Order: sequence, then C-alpha cells, then structure tokens
Amino acid sequence: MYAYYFIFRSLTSAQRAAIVLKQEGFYPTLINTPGTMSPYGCGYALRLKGRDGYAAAQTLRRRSIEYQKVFRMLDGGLPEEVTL
Amino acid sequence: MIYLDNAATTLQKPPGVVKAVERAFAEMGSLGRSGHKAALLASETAFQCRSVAAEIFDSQVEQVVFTFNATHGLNLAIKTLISAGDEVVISGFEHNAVVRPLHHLKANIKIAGRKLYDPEDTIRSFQKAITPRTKAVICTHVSNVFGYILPIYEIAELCRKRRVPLIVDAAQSAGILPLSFRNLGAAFIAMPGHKGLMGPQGTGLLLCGQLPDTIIEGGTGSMSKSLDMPDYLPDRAEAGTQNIHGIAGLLEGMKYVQKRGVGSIAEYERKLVMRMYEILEDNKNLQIFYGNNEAQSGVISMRIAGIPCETAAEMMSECDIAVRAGFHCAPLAHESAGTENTGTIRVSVSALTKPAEIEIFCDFMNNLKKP
Repeated sequence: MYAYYFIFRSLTSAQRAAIVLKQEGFYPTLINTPGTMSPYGCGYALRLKGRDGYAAAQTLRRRSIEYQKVFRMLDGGLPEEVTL
Repeated sequence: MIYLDNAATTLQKPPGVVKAVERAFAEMGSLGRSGHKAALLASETAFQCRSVAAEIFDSQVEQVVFTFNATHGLNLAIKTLISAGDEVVISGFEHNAVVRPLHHLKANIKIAGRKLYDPEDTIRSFQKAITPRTKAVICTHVSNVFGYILPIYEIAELCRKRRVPLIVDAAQSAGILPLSFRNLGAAFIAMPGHKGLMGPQGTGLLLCGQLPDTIIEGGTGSMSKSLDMPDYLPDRAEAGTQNIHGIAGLLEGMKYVQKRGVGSIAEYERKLVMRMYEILEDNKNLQIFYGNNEAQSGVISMRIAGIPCETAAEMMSECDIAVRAGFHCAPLAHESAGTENTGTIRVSVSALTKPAEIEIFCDFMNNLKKP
C-alpha cells in the first residue's frame, strides 16, 4: 500500500495540519521531509497511510490549511508527486 | 524575601514552571531540526506554547514568534518599520528598549502624551502628533515606572483610521491586562516571557501582523538550500537554536495565567496597590505617584523626602525587601513626570504577591528613618 507524504513549508504549519487531521480521526506522523521530496532542503512532512490520502487532502483544503506538495510512495519504492 | 520587583522579572513562578524547565533539560532536543523523539517533543512543546499564546492574545499560531525578551522583539519590529530620518510618534513613557533603537536609527521622534494617569490627554496628544509623514506609532501599554495604563485601544483605533502601523510594548501588561491582537490591529506586539507571563528569563514573544525584516540570519530548519531567510512566519524571525528550556517553562507560566484569568490578575494587582496607597497616603515624607483610577496598574513609584531612592532601596534590601530604585531604563518617563533629577523607588506586585507582604512593606515605609 502507498504512504502519502504531505509537505509543508514550516514545522508550525505541519503541526497545525496534524492537529486538524487528528481531530478528524486521521493518524498523521510528523517526520523530517525526505530529501527526495524536498527541492528546498530541510522541512517537515506528515505521513499518512494510503487509504487516508485523498480524505486527508480534502480535510486540509476544507480547513484552509495549505501544504506545498503531496507525494506517494510504495515501501521501498521511489516517491511520486501526485495531485489529490 | 518580600519581593516587590516584579516589573523587572517575576521571581516567584507557579510551581509547574520549574518542573517544566527541568523536564526540558532532561528530555528535549532542538526544536524544528531533527525527527527523533527528543526533537519532536521539543517541537510539540513549542507548538503548544504558540497555541496557548494565540489563545491568550487572540492571534494565529504562526503569528507568535519566540524572542529572547521584549527588547529583542521591539528591535525586530522597529527595524522593520523605521529607517533613518523617519517620523515616529511615541508616548512620553517609553522604555529605552524603544527609545534607544530609534536613536540608533536617527529617527525623527515626536513625543505625545506626557501627563500621568490622564488617558484623555494622551489620546488628544496622539491625535495632534500623528501626521501624514508618520511612519509608525510606538506605545507602551503600561509605564514600567509609574504603572500608568495608556489608552492603547483608542490609540490603535486612531492608527487604523490614519493608516499608520502601531507597535505595542506589552512588557508590563502581557499576562496581566486583557490584550487582543486581533482587536488592536497592531503591526507588532512585543512582550517578555519572564514578567506577567510567569516564564523564565531568556524568553519573549513577538506577535506579528506583518512579516518582519530580519536582524539575525541563520539556520531555521526549513528551506535550507535557499540562502535567503524564509519569507513566512514564524521561521523568518527565529534563526538559530531556540531556547526550548525557556519555552517549556513559558508554556507552563502561560497555562497558569490562562487558568487564573488575565482580567482577574489585573484586578488582584490593582487591589494590592490600592491597599498600599491607602496605608501610605497620609505619610508626609512620601510622594506617591498613584493613578487612583482605572489608569493604574500593579507598578507604583514613590520618593522619600531626604533619602535618595538608591539609599532607601539599599535599606530595604538589608531588611529583605526587594524593590528597584533609579531611572528604570526609562529616562523619558521620568522627564514626563518631573522625576528626572531624583529617579524613584519602584514597587511592583505580581499575581503571586501576598496581601501580608504589602502590609509588611508599608509598615517598613511608615517607620523608615533617615540613615
């Protein structure tokens, strides 16, 4: 199954997104953005299980929380930028 | 010790503050850098601190920037808005944390409102002083010398009407008087973490209504490949390792303030100072600067006939009563009040000052004799 990675421009915005997603029943994990997903260098991302990706994106949009990009990745695979 | 120097820093803190700092020392890494447990715990604590601040001050979480003290925040704000020769309007009670950066920038300073405890006069003065050339208004919420509560909401409204950005120095009001960032519409509000917010020294908050210029550039844990500082908050204003030990303590301090209630703290402090004035007002040797109305906070200044203020403070210290004497880093305030030749003894209470301590202080003052 895929994991989805929501990339944020700052730690604070990632944390705000995590709170919103947890309130809505998701289980995001806050991690350092993998280098392969960040053209800007260091940052923070939220990782979610594949089945939650689309719903999480909708939730964040509904709650006006911006993310920069979304990637999906299979275990051991390469990241692929997606639009949700 | 009877500690009555809370305008300098609150020595007595709520019990959870020290425990939080100890825990941070033992368990927290650097916030906003790594992804391991210790770093994530630090990051989570910092976010909670911003969130509580956003609740207390009615702002967005990202608008809460960690600083090292109010002076740091004021420098950030002032150096964002003001350049050499710019016209700036300030109150007659500003601290050197405002006046010195303006002096350094060679700003054209106009002083408005020099009458103590007269909000109507202050508002009229600001109305007169602000011109189309005014680049910013900088105003303290409460005088750190006399405890005069300035009419900051009316001044903010005036600034909004005249489209002039406002910087508020909330050093003596944060955590004590209600302060809504949203309602004020200020460009910046600077405050220390170690006074009314009951946190450790080395902490402060700057509430940002706009992006500040940078006065320190460095690592932020974000956009590392870019040589420019991030163009978003709070990262832009937080270069370098943040004081997570202090932030952890500040979080607990603010939780205490939130639980006790900001307005109720103001009322408690006002009653202590009122009681002090009631006991001392008939002492012919004392000149007490007291507002006796809604314009008086928990900071009060006095002079003693025939005893220099520094000498009196030393005598008090020998009896384990802690006050501050001199000019309180605010010579402008003393010029406004006519105490520029002598300075004053400043007595300042906190949410944790006990009524019995006021009685003991007043007893000392009423029995004070020349050395």
